[in-house]
Amino acid sequence: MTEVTTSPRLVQGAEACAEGALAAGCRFYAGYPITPSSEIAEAMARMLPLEGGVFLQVEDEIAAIAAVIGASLGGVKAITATSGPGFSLMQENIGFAAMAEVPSVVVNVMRGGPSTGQPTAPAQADVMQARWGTHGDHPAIALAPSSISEAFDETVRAFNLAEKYRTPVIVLLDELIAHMRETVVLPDSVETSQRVKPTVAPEAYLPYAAPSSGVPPMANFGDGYRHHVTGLSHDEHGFPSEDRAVAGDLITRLMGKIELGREEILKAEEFCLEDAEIVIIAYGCVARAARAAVRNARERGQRIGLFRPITLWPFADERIGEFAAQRRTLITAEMNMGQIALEVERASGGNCPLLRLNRVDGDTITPGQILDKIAEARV
Amino acid sequence: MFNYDKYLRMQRLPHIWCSGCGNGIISKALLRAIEKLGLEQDRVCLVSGIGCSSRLPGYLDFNTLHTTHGRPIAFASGLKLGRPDLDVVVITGDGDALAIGGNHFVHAARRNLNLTVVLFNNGVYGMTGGQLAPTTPFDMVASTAPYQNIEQPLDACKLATAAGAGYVARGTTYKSQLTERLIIDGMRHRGFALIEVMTNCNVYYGRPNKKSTLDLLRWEKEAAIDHKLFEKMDARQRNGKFPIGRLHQDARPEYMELYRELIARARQKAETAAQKKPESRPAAAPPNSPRAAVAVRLSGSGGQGLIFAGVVLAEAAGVYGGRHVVQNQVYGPEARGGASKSEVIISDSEIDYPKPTEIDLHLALTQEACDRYCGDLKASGTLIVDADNVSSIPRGEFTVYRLPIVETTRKKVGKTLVANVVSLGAATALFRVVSPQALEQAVLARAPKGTEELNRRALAVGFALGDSARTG
Repeated sequence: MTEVTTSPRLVQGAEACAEGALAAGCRFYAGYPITPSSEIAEAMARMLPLEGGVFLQVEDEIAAIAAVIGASLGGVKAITATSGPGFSLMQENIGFAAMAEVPSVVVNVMRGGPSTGQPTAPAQADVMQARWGTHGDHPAIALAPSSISEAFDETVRAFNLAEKYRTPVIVLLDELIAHMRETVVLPDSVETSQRVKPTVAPEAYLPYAAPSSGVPPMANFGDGYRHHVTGLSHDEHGFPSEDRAVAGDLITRLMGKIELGREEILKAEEFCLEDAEIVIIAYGCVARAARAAVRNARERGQRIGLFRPITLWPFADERIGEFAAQRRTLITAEMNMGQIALEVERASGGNCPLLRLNRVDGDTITPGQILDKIAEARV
Repeated sequence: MFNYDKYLRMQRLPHIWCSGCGNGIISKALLRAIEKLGLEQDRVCLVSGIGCSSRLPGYLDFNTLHTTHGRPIAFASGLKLGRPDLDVVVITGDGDALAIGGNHFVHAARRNLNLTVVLFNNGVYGMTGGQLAPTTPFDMVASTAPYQNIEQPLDACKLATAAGAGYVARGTTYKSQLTERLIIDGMRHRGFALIEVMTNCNVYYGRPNKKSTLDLLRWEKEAAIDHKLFEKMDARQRNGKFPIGRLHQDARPEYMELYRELIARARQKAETAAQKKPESRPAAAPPNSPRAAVAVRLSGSGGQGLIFAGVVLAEAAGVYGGRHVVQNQVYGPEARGGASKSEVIISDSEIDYPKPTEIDLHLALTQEACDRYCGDLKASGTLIVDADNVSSIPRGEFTVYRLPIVETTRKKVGKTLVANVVSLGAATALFRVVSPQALEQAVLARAPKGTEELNRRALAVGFALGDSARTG
């Protein structure tokens, strides 16, 4: 049960993320320092030993995600945090976690890119990398908090979804949310999910045979269910297979289990949407500016609303489709060249007017810029 | 006869290795070692990367993890740290461990975590068709070195020793009994243990270099010299030979032992801190009549403690004043030296956009900060500058106070280090964004141990400075 403490505290986004991880039962962190995510590592280095957990600073981000997967296979909830360049380095092993179905959480504090880019400036340019960063078809879950308390809540949810769906979950923070501080009341304890363990005898255990949910029960190493884990295409026994049908079924199941869980995984905030003729679509730090713009426009009698996807992947196709069917005008505001805008375009099926507001200079999108875009849409 | 059957996943056989390959010999030595050590099958974890040798775990009935190329040591480190009760053995090849995974190899050795690494060294990329490895001998031919190798091979044992591994040994497939003993020895060692085993790939290394399995085994037999004997040989005698046996061992503390001490230290420290910390006070109730939101910017040069001041102000308003706050700062290289700023928005309602669009109160301790950050100060706003460090005031309708903040701190408090707290006191006296009581609570809660009195004095000096400016 969720318990609430009464005293508010001034907390930084990075700290809230770390506290969320601990509340979710995370007891392992491996990471490599990188701006602007290092505050998460520092918070974990401070707090994890107090809980008897392990904090490990590794030699690079490849090792970080590898160690996270290793710890998780042993039954320890594990997390790593990084930023753009480090997230790029992690991609191969994120694919391993997706293929071998190892619960894991990766926080990416987005900064200006590509390459070294603008290490200290916020951006939202890794949205597509969170979806398609690793090679091959694979499932993806990515969550984008836009406040300090949400950085806590969504990190908790990331662990719960990772455990429930046996998949890597990405938390997409941005520099602004990770570094700003707000007074928050964080819960003392939260509801947590644990991976489903096998109930059959070890001899009968098929580590990759899934029930109708598409998610196979998972034995930890050391539980007595000796099994094989590989990134190769594998059968229900977990052993490599070159059988085409086995390979096809596996990828279909991996994608399908997230589709099946879609309803539960999707989460969004709708603000002043009911009668809105124009819907701003924004997430992360930009949603804060959008909210201010919506309030401002409402004060002047304009029917503007905000749709804020908290779950970015899977994408909220259905809701966007509904807006489009209602012929509302959609404005996608994001700090990249239009990554979610492409999804909005796809999901709206060309049924409504679409506008984009993009900013890639390292400064945040302001409420004023959104109001200008609204004015443009109303012409 | 040793019976290997209980350790084999029979349904996975036959294996993919070519006839004449040395991998089977090493695998059997490993299984005999596990048996002799009396390890529980359920608690043994074999972690491998990519390559011929890395296929071994799939054939063996333990907890087995076949990872990505070069990364098994990193996966194994996470597993071992998460589950120190499990026996974790890394099965890797020369390309896997020393080329693509070289970084992990070096740092795991340095960390001295209790892992055993069995490195199958066949001097070539066998699985993918005989490409050059970092261990391929000089002058040899490989599919990607058709005109002979012009690079020197890497010595895994020297590398591990130099990096700090607790146990380093080398065996051969020719001397499988020795290899078995070395694996037992390495697994008993508490710390990072490397057992490099020289083996052969008669197909992809042998064929292009015109060497049969027998030639390669003969080479293992003749080139491998007991390390004690090798020590006594001169450079000429050593040519073309390599030492085998236990090459290095030390009793350096193992990582998890140190980590357990770290946990105890951290808990001790936290306990001490908890005893000394005053109980946190409940927040004051929010006021009945809502006030307009206020945006405050504190600026100066990096190192003047203005980010700290921003955090304290936000805490005073949010935690001790019961209001909504957001605090931001300029971050990164800009904040080291040069101009630095911290911003706080205080409101009675939820704050949407977390950055101030207009500033109500701007404090500038340096000219640069004043010039750089004054642009968005409201006409009705207030500018407080340090009288001695800011001479040129930007044009504007805002109210300006020139206060000798740094100088007064020097004279009345003694330490200019707390000019940030004096600033907060003066700003609060002039412009009631928070109550003096809330500010004092926040300052004392954040003040490092032993500096409470200093900070209290600084705050009093600041209040007096602000009051005198207001009334004067």
